[in-house]
Amino acid sequence: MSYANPDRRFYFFAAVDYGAGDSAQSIQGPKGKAGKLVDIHLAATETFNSVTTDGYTDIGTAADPNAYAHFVQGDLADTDSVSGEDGVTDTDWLIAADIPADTQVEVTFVAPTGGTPTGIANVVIVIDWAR
Amino acid sequence: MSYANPDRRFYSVPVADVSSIQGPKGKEGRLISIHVAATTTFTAGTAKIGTAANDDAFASFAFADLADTDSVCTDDGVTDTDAIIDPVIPADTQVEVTTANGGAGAGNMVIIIDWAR
Repeated sequence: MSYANPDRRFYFFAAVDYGAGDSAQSIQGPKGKAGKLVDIHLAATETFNSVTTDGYTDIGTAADPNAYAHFVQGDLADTDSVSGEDGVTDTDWLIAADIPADTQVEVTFVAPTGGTPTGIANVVIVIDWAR
Repeated sequence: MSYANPDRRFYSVPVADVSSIQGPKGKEGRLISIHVAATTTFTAGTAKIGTAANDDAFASFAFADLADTDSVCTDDGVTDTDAIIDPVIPADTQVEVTTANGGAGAGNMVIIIDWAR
């Protein structure tokens, strides 16, 4: 297994409406390659609020939704952006970077709670794949 | 022409749209993969990558009955193993992207192309 020259892929999830409620999507890697979760990036197109609890993004498996990551973006203002690697927003977001080969990666977008939840963002997840 | 250190680019296209891709001037492309993440179940989903004259010149990816929240890619080894028809994309040629869902299907698609001189 070598990540010296990985097959880096970016997965785009457009206009995810966290405020409207929880939603889910997924990622399928190239056959036979294990993954290493590198980063998540959110660019807000509507302000995220969190009257009671923050919204967040889980990356994991069907059995363990945050097996790889649990990223809490907090009260992100419209037009602002955050990432897992920005060193400020959620510095312990990455739980386990290694993704087994040939296993669908589940991505869950969880709504803020309390009051009137809001928040829409374009989400990018970066994964390096290698044999 | 060398793809040893290519200019890899990712194109994000909502499925169920007609779209296109314009590569960097003078660089030939190599179609690497197509990834689809469903947000509404497909009943006969397809994505074609080609030219104005031949809509599946480079690929015809049949991802069929893809359930909401599931995902597939052309190199997952399972879904449509001969989706890539001809990976080589001529330089300075607009790449046409057409999709069909056969029902209410929708989702996010990412097309990966390596460009090189």
